[in-house]
Amino acid sequence: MVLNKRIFRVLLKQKAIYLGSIVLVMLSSLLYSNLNIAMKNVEKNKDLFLEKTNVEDAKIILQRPIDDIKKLEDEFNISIEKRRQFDAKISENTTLRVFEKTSKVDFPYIVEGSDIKNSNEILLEPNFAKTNRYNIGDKIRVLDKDFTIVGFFAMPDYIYPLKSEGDIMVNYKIFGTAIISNKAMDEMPTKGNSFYLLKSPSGGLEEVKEYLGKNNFIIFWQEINDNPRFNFVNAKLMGSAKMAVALPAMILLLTSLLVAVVLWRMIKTEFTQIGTLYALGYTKNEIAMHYLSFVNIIALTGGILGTILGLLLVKPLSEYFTFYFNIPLIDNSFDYKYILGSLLIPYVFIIPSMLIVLYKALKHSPVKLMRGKIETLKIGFIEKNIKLNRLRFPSKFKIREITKSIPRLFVLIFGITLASMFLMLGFLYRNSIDYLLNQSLNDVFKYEYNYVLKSYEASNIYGGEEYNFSVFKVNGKVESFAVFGIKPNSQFINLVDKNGNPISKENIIITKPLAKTLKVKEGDTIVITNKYNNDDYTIKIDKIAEVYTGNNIYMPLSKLNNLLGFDSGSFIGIFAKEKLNIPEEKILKFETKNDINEAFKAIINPLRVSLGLVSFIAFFIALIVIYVVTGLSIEENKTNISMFKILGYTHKEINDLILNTFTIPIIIGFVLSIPLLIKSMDELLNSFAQNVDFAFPLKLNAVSIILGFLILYITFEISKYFSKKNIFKIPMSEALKTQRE
Amino acid sequence: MFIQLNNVNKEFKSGKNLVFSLKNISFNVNKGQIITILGPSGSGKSTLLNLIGGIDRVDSGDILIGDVNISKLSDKDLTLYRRNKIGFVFQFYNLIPNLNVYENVEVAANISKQSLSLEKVLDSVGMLDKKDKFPQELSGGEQQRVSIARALVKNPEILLCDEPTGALDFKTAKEILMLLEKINKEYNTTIFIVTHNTAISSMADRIIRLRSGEIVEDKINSAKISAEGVEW
Ligand SMILES: Nc1ncnc2c1ncn2[C@@H]1O[C@H](COP(=O)(O)OP(=O)(O)O)[C@@H](O)[C@H]1O
Ligand SMILES: [Mg+2]
Repeated sequence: MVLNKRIFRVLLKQKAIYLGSIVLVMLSSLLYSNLNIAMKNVEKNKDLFLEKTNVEDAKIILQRPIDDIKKLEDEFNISIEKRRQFDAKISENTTLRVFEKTSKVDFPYIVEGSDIKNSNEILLEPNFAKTNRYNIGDKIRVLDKDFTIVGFFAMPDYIYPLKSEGDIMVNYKIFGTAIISNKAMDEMPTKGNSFYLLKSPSGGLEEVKEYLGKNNFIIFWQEINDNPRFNFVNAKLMGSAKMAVALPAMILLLTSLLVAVVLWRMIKTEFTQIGTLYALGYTKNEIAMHYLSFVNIIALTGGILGTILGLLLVKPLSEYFTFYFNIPLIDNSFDYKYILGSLLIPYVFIIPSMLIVLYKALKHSPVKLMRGKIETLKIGFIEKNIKLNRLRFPSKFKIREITKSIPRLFVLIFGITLASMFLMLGFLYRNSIDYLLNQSLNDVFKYEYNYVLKSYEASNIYGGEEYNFSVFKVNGKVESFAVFGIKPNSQFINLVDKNGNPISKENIIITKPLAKTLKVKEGDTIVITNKYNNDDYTIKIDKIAEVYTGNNIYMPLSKLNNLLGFDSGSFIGIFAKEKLNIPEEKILKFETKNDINEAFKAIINPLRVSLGLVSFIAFFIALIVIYVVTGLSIEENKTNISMFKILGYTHKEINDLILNTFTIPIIIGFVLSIPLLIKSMDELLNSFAQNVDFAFPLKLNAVSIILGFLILYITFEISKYFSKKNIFKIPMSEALKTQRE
Repeated sequence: MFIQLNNVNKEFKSGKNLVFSLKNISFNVNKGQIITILGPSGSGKSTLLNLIGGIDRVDSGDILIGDVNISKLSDKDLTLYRRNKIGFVFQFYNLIPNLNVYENVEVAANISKQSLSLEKVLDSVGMLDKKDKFPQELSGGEQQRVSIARALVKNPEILLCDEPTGALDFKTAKEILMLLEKINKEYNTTIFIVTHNTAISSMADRIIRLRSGEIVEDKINSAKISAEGVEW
């Protein structure tokens, strides 16, 4: 069609506006294809990996070892494998957790290199190896014995290799895992401790649990889905899957609105031409097709570019993901339906808004259209009724300009809100982590060292402050949480209520995240079930503590011991300010406050890349939206700008009138973004926080808000800089031209 | 002499081809006069007016307004010249559609230091009672009144009117001419009226006729009549 020849002329004439739209479509296609395909890829590889390594169903510690594993296996039709492990300091700050190789359950998958054959060989966790620069063939010294690194491995119960389960983030600098042969484990000077790994092909473990509870006394019983080293990845994948849909959808929604506004403006200026084409005998469809071809170019170009980029980035993103989660990428594959989706979804979003705009225009008769302008000159209700008498002229002009087109205003505010949400995400993350670290961890837990012993003891001869704990569940609600018995005068646990006032440790106190999941209020009574012997206990919750991490209940030590039927002084753990002299074979677990703090500090660094990327996207969206909307405004005001020039307005005065018009909507968009961001992140976190025992406190401090606004403001200024040139270019003859028409 | 044009030349080219040129235009005008510039379409009337109004620049020659040679002014000073000395009235009004009558006049008052009272100006163009209306709610004649008010509110020394009645019917056109005459008397404003309608020149003090970019006639109108008597 002859008409289509002008498409490229029009595109070129307003290249910035169309390029902006294409980039936005590209961005959403990129995010959609990339996130979805990468997440599916990781998920598929995870399943494959779990299958290949025969992942455990539960991991347990028994007071009395099992005498005859074979007999038990046959009796309950399950697999049981004993796995010994010990922690070794390999440098001042770095701990290596060494496991012996298993062959029935949770056996390692070799990611690189080869399996161990001799007792002087060792496998390392690949991210730990990379972070600390260990290569295959290198030697590593563990407890005075040299091992040769022969390969890197992944194991299913340490996908997310946290040092202790209470940690929120991995830190490969200070903690890694390794595997040695059974023989090497036999030869090690330390006893370490051992877990039994249970796998039931039929799924049921209740009978064996009862049996072991009676005969061997269970100290620790953890099902795989309660294991944060295993289930964090699910939470993360779930979150990412939501993001993979929500982010592109939001950007596309914005793009489709923006494109609709741009095309509406274009059609408005072309009413006369459309009317003439009508009169010449073009059909509605032919004219519609012509305008749709603009949309087609935007959607197709953006979609194809975005999809290609998205596909190219699948591998890097999968690898980035596997930096946090040690899941071997056994078989990289693309899910083709997302490629198709990535190409089609832009159409799904843009076509409807486009059709509405077209219908609005084409419903008029040719004569009416040919006379043009009729429609465009209608004064809106707001314009007619708004009272501006008291204002100075520039303010009046700006308000008139803002209220001229409500769809345009909406697109601008929506765009700025979306961009600001992206922008503030990084700040939100950072502030929240800081808050979590300072307010929550350092203020609550005053100890430097935390020891967990292998068995209960009656009197504390080591120093520090003893405590006891046991693991419970609430049927149907929470699979596992710890109840701590602490000294009522404890110096190391410092609990406050939501007003920041200290809570007396004579009370039974529940942490906020646990209270939230159990939906309990102060004064409520709950029934808790001991995980090891299935006994039920009824306790009354006195207070809720403002703590963000940990599904915990605290009560006086004597009360807990009384509840469990222990001697009132029994304990299994010790908090201390200094390092204590406890024989190593008595220690089950040992953590320092420093480890936790280090871990927190370390998480920000690798996140920098992704947060930086998100900020960049935010900057881009804001720039495009502001530029396109201002561009439209300049386009529409061409004659007026020209008139201003004739009247003797200086460039500065014109720039102020036209470009600063949108300052207020931009501020509104920014202000809206903050509660919206916090609300949506809260929802997102809540949706998968059930399995993860911390409530992430969402905090944004004033400095961050100011900084975020500053970035937005700079974006605005950059956009203004480009727009100024366009205003400058408008000749005074523009106003004279219209009088010739 | 208030306005003085000496050998003004201006060419328009399309690529290498000369499309049009104003050739050696020279004339003087006294303050407070009404001048009509006549000529067929395309003879260069608007071009001449734009040069005097500082919208466009001469290729050669001088335009002196008072003792200022505006052809030598910087862009910035030329802007100030337009702002302080000149009022423009166009055939198609060029009002801003989403501003009401009052605000359209305010557009000009906003940048002027010597601006007249908006109410007074709107009253003198007969639009005070419609000050809250929007342009598209007004007739052509009313819109032109608003555009005259916008030009007038800056209290300019020179009012440049390019075909001010070109889009209006006879009756309305005459009302506009009478309004211009009133302004000329009240404010002693020098008024240029560009028109291809010869009849209008009978209300002028001075008649300049252009053809193909050259002055073919320049005379003082000894038989000046009031605008009310203009007929065509
Ligand atoms: N900015 C311009 N660029 C090129 N040609 C122009 C320009 N302005 C006017 N012209 C040409 O100059 C000639 C005179 O125009 P104009 O002064 O508008 O005539 P009039 O107002 O007497 O009808 C016309 O042929 C017009 O096409
Ligand atoms: Mg003309």
